[in-house]
Formats: sequence, structure tokens, C-alpha cells
Amino acid sequence: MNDGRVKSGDFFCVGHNHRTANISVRETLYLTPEQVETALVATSKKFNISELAILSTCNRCEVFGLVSEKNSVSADFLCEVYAFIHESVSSKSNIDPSMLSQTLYTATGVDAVRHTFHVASSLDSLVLGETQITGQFKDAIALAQKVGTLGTMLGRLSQEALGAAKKIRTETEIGRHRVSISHAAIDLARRASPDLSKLNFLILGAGEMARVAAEYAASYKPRRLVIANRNKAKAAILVEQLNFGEAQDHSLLSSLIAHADVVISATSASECIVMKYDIIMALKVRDSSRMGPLFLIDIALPRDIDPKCGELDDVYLFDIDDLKSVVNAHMDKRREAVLEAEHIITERVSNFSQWLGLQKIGPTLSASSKYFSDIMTKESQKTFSRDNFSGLNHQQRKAIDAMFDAIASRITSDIAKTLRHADHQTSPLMTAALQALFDKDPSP
Amino acid sequence: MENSAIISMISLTSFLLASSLVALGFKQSFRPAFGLRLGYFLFVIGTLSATVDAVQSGSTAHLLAAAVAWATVISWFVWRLELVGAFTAPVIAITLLASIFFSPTRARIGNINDTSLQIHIFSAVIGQTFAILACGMSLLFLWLDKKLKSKALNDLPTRFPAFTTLTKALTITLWIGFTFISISLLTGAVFALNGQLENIPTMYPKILWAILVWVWYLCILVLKEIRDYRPQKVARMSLIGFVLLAVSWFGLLSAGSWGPQ
Repeated sequence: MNDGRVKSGDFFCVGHNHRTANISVRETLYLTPEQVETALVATSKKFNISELAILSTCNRCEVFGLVSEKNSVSADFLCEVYAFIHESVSSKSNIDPSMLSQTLYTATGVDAVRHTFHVASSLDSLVLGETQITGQFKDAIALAQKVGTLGTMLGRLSQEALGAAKKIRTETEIGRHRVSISHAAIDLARRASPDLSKLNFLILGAGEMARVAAEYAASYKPRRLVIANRNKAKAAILVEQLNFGEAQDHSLLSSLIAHADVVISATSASECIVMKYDIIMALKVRDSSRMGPLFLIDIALPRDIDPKCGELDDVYLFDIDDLKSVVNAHMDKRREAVLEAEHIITERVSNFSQWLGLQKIGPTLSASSKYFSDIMTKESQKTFSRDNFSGLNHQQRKAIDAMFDAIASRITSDIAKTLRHADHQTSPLMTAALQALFDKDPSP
Repeated sequence: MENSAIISMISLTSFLLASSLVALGFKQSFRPAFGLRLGYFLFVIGTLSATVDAVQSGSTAHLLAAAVAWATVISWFVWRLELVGAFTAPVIAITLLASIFFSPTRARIGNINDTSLQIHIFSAVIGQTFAILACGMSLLFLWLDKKLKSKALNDLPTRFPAFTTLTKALTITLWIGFTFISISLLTGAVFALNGQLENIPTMYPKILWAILVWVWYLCILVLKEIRDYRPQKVARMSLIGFVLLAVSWFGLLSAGSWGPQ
């Protein structure tokens, strides 16, 4: 498959995502990397698809590929391909066809190219601007390359899509701002110190929210990370998983707060566990040890920290609603950046289409050049064989031959120029007409 | 128009424009907008032209303007406190404007032969520079405190300096400022006792005011370092210190009257 030759054909994509399929459908249609490997080989052989890649994540399972022009790229054909991919993997052989028809979407040509760019840039993701999808897209392409279903065209498409994703990430605000509460809580600590490694973190609770916050905090290797929980054993398990920090229980709360710069509370307690008095006691210790401001971030519901704590000097208290407003503002910023990202994608898709067009018309232009050249040679030979031109010497004949060659190459170059500058609608028509006229066997 | 006048105009215009443009940094944005970058550029242009102006004219007002500008630029690099320029740029512009109304010929360090007076004026300028910078930092600190207390998290620019940065910068700035103000007072006293005794009665208000400013900054540092005053209180006291200093600044403009006319 991967013979390095440029295939003439059309891009396609078919699949489902978080918008078209619910979680149970996505679970059913999810393919493991091993299953993707098997499916790629089987499908490309069966349908004679020259280039193929499968992206399977928890939010989508999509097939990107390139078919030769002998295959008809209809929606039914693509659905058939998609169904076969899942059938080729033994455990997915009993998929309900109606489920596929309801959840699948298809795109071909420029639409498929544009969709690929959107997916790689995470503009099509559940969480706009998330970074995971770009890595998953890279993995999907690497897998296709490994099994030999990645050719020049799909390889170039993936390179361009990843290039666009990188440009969007660097030049727009799409991935700048955190959109999870736990992450926003840690980011808020930057208001205390720009260098999180110099801060002391105290995380109250050992549940999911606490775990995410602890993981994120631990990634910055803070000066101290204490995970305190009513059940110390649970905190110890989390510390072991993180391989960082120390576990404590709630009985030492006031003392723990006194030595922390940032307290993130995410317990499931039914009432406040941190009262104003605890903070006053903690502040006395802090003042004597010249510690900076105390950030109390309560991401629990019901709240863990008494709202009156925020009235104290040098204490800054935030609850889940405050963080939600930050997260919402971040999401708005990402949405605002979509317009800018779309502009980058349009530009990149246009460049790619131009490159694709040139690849497609290459053989046709060669054929037309040869056609004109043959005519010129034939006609010049006929003309020179007549008596009136018998007096021409070798040099004169050579000059006239050169003139004919120049005319042939000038005509071909004018055709190429016209094709290059043709718009998306007329370009395929012109290419088809040229193929019909000069390219007797367009397939490579 | 003379070259020095052109340089003065460039400096004044740069700081006037930078005053409004650098304030764009308070707008929430990850990347600095074009206007903000232009503001920083103008600030640097203003700093360079103010330096040339100060060297050429020898005027204390121009020296103060150049010193504040340089201290601001240094704070950008050391603490990434670009926003402090939003405060210092208008202060510099006002200083330069005021120097037009207060005859600059009366306050030229170059015309002064007495070393103790030269050191006095120079250290007073540096002391005031750091007091102005401390005021700018205090404003940033109090603004951050207000926004966080009122939970207006979305109003805070992404690159706004953090508490620890502002506290550290404020402490260092206050110490440097206090040291130079102290030197200024001492050298002023040496100058006064060294043959200018007959002028002392006419300088009473200025001397008293200078001592008041010095005592105020001494209080700030003592309360901060010994009584562990919180940074909020230190910031508020620095603002008052700046107001006291602004009054004595008018005295600085007429410093040339102490030397030969």
C-alpha cells in the first residue's frame, strides 16, 4: 500500500462522535489500538482503499482515508466501510445497522479535509481546545504508518492538520485557559505566587475532585503537599498514587492550615469543617512565621469552609461558584478564539487543496505535454519530408524543431497556470476534461 | 527649536502617551495588545530621551524623571512589574510638565560646587524615585487585594503580578528608598552646618517636612519588620508616604536656590 506513489482519488471521512452518538453507542463502537491495527489491514484490502487511518477515542471513532477514483465515494459506501471495520474485529460483529445509520456522518473531498483539520485542532472536541485529541490523532497516524496504510496523500494531510493544530494552539487563546474546576483552583494559587513550587498546598479530602487537584498540584512539585482526610488511610492511598506529598488526618486541621499557603477543600462533609476560629488561630502562627497570604479554595458542595473566613485580613476565600465564573469566562475566551482558528484552518485547507490539485493534475499535464510534443514531431517530420524544405540544412531543421517544442511547452504551461488559478468548482471540471482529452489511463 | 527642547518634547510626549497605553495592561488578555506594546515602547523611548535631557540640562526635575523611568524599566526585568508603568508614566509626565513652570535654571546640579549638596540632591532624587515606585507597587497590591476580596477574578489580567512578587518588590523598594532619603538628610545637615547656618531659619518648613517624611518611612519599616505588619497596611502607609513626599518634591525643585545662582 505504502509505495510512495501519489494516488489520484478523493479523501473521505466517516464516523461518529460525542454529538451524534450517546455514551453507550460510543462504548460499543470504541476500538482498542490492537483492533484498529487489525481493522486497517482488513479494510484496505477488501475495499481497495489506498490510504486509511482510524481515530478511536472515548468521544469519537472516525475513519480517514483516500479512495482511488475507480471506487465510488458515496455515503452508503462509506457506511459499508465503517460497518466492515467493526465487523472485522470479532468482538464487534453484532452491531445493529440501524444504530450505525443513526449515528454516522460522512464527508468527502474538501469537506473531509476541513473536518480532519477541525478534529486535529480540537475544534470538534467535547471540551473545546483540549490538547489530548492532537496526541490521539498523532497516535492514529503513527498506527496507520506502522501497518502500512498511510500513503503520501494522507501523510501530507495529517502533517498539515497537525501543523494547523500547532499554529492554532500557539497563535490563538483556544487552549490557554483551564476549564476544569480543580485546575482553575490550582491556577488561582498563582495569584499568591507565580512559582507554585514555592507554595505549601493543603488538600482536604481524598475524593475525585481532590485527586484531580492533588495531581495537578503535584505536577508542579510544590514545597509541601499535604492531603488530609477524615480517613487517613484514603489520603495515604492518594499520596502513594501520586508518589508525592504526605497524608494527614483532620484532627490536625488548624495546625495544617497554619503552615499552608493554599488550602483546597473537596470533602463530602455535610457541614463546614473549617471555621473562622480555626483560621484566626492559624493566622497567629502564620504572622509569627511571616507567611504570605492564605488562599482558601472551597470546591466542595455543600461547602467545607465557613464563608466568614473570607472577612479576615490576608485571607482570600473562593467557593465553587467563583471558580465556575472563571471557568465559564475561560470557555467564552476559547469560543471567541474559534473564529481566529477557523481563519487559520481555511487558509491551511486552501493551501492543501492547491497542493492536492497539483498532485492530481501532474500526470494529466505530463500526458498533455507528451500529446502536443508528439503532434509537433509528427507534423514537423511530415513537413520536412516535402520537396520545398529539402534545401534546409541540419541547423535550420533543429531550430524549427526547437520552435515546435517551445510552442508545445508554452501551451502546457498555460494550461497548468489556468488550472492552478481555477476555483474549487471549475478546477475539477477542467481537470476531468483534460484527462478525457489527453490522459487515456489516468490511474497510476 | 534647540536640540534640548526637541528631546524634552519627545520625552514628555512619550510619557504622556505611555500613561494611557500602559494602563491597557489592566485589560484581561493573554497576549499584550498592540496598544500595550506600543505603550512599553514609548516608555523606553521616553526613558532614553529623559536621560539625555537630564544629562544635558542637569535639572533635578529631569534627573528625577529619568531616575523614576529607569527604576520602572528595571522593575519590569527584575520582577516583571510592567503594570507599575501605568502609575509611574503619568508621574514622570507631571514632573516634566511641572519643570516647565518651575524654572529649571534654578535647579541645576551642575551649577553646584559643594559636594555635600550634590550628594544631598542626588540621594534625595534616588530616594524619591524609590518612594514613587513603592507607591506604584502599593497601588497594584491594593488593587489585587480588592479584586480578590470581592472575588472579581475575571477582572484580573492574566499577567498581573502575584502577592509574593509585589510584597518582595515593595519591601526592597522601601528599603532602598529609605536608605537614600537617610543619606539625603545627613548630607543636607552637613551642608547646612557647613557655612549655610544663616539660611537655616528660612529652610525650616522644608527641613521639618523632610524629617517628617523620613520618620514616616522609618515607621513603615519598623512596623513591618518588627511588628510584622501585614503587606496591606504597609501598602496603605506607602501611599501616605508618597503624598508627604510629593509635598517635599516641590521643595526639591527649588533646591538650586541653595546653591550659587
